[in-house]
Amino acid sequence: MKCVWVVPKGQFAPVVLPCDLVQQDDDVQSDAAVITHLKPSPPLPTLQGKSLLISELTDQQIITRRQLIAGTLQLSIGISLKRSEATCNRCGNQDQEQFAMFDCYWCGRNKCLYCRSCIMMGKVTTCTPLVHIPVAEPFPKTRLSWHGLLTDAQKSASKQMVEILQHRTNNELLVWAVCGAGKTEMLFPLIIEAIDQKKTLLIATPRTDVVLELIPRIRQAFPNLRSIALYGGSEERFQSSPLVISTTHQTRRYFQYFDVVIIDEIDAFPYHYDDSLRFAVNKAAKPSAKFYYLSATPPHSLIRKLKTNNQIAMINRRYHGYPLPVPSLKWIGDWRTYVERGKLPPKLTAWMNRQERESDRQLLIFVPSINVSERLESIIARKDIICVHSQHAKRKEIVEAFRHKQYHCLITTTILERGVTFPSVDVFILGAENDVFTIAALVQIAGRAGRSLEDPKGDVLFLHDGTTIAMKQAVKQIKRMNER
Amino acid sequence: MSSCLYCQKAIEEQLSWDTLFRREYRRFCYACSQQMIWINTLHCSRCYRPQADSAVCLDCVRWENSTYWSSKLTRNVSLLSYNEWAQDFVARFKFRGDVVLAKAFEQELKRMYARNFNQHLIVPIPLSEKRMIERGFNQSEVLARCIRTNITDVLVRIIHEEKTSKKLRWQRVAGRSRPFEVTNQKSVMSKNVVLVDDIYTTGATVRKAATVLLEAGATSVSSMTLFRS
Repeated sequence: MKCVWVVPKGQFAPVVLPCDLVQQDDDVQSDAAVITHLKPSPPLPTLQGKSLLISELTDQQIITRRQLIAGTLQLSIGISLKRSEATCNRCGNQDQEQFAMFDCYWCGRNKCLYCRSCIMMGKVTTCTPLVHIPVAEPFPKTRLSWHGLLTDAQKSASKQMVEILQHRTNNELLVWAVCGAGKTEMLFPLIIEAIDQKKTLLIATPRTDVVLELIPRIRQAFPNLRSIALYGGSEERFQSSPLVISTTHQTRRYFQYFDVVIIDEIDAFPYHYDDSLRFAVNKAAKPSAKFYYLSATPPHSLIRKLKTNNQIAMINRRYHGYPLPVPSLKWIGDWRTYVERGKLPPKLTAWMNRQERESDRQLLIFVPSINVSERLESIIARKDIICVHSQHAKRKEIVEAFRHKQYHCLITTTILERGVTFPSVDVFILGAENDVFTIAALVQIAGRAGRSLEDPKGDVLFLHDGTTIAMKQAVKQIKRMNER
Repeated sequence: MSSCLYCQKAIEEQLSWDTLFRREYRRFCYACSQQMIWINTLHCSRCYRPQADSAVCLDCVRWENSTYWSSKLTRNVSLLSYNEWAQDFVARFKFRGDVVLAKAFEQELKRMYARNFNQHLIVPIPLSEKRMIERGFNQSEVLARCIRTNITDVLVRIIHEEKTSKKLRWQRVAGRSRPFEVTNQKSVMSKNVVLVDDIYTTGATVRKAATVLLEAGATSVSSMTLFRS
């Protein structure tokens, strides 16, 4: 698509219009060019709402001349070039190797650049404008209410969160809560208060599983609030709502829209590592937005940054008041060779048998890789034991079935390390010495056990072939949390 | 350190004699290259369907038994088997539009052309106007330009059909629709033509294109594709 600067008849201010929307009596001010090369450059967008590709617009969202002139719709540059250095304005990519050139038919056989980094969400090219459209916010007419109870620890953290909402200078709060402290419930007073003040909320999390876990709980608590869930393949991406629960990737489709941004599991991969996801969340937030970071294992840099201003809310008791289960370290020898040869490590069999005999709980077994999870499933070959991992086609269904106790045991990779709750489970980690099990991951995994009031205990076993520093540190951290 | 063109993970070079003497650099990481299945051993001698012997496969026999379709296509040659990895590759290359991925097979496509169709006229399968606007590029043309940069426009697609990937075999084979038209008869006259496409599934598309090319005076029509399902 090519664009041009035009002063429409009867207007004074020039606007950028696509060439096919220019009318005869318009005063054309510039040469037609693709939006990246238009001179002078179009202004930075100011419209708060969604930022979409033309291919992402619904049938109701048509780019009209009237809207562009009135400013209720804006076009902005998809890929900017500065001294031949390209930046993708949708995903923030600046790695020049992640841009490629192609013969583009959209703008008449130009050599267009496109961004490879976010191509799985649709193609941004030098000739593709980002369309900024406002979003209608269907706020509920009456004040929300929630009748659940919070513990004293939850209440005080909750109060701190609501206070930040009104605070003049502090825009950030770290909520440092042990696994099973009841983080979701602590958010409810904040949600009620924000919605009451007509503020839009985003709950962003790196994992699809966490989105799927959160959304029914929030809908159940607030049936009057139409909240939406966004993740790859979600059907709700065309809807709008004042409360959006989204994977960090999907927030890229918003532009300066949210007043309140809650980032769950701040330390979880990939948010922790990936600058592009940080870019996505910051882009979706209004410049004045309040940020809440939720974690059981926050990174040190964040603690150091927020400690001085009293911007940390600590909750070191689980909502039911029982201590965190402390993991026991058990050596099981060279388990990998057994698995490679298609055999079950004898010590694992012994531990599994004992668990089944002595405990009424279900069993979660964490393994270091997808490969191991599949091997183990086929070696055990029992109908009530199944594996799940990120590449699994029925991932959603299996986790749901396990929750409904249709399986005794679930073998999983680290995808279920955080954010998911099963009422009564014992937890094994097979190969706890592996590098994927960092301190944070081990603490999180141990935190899957003993989460319900009915069954506040659970056994956690680190089955390993040699202790690591991470394992020892994780146990130390859990014990320290229990002492406070 | 280079990174894999497909999955963007770093390629770990394992130092060997190969590293010293190989002229081409690696474009895919080990994990991705492991998943590609090159068709280089046994396949149907006519359409390159991977199979246990090199006899003419049943599908080709059926095509040749039909009076209408018989001897339209001389033969087909393909590079890779259309497995699960290939499906993801095509989804990303064609439907998402990650055009640069074609470059990964440039050397192999050139080699395949030189070995099988030297001096043939290269004709990419065209897209309809509607599909061009939707995609912004023609995947067959991108592949053809990997072999040779200047390509003459010979064919157009005048009928916009439903995506063949969404049709069943009998729907593809039974139809005798004529979606293609030759625009440049002079350049086709008495030439051996090789059609270029991304996938050969039933061979209906290339045969429909071959029909009009033969009518326009081409001596023979063959096809080469990146994938063979």
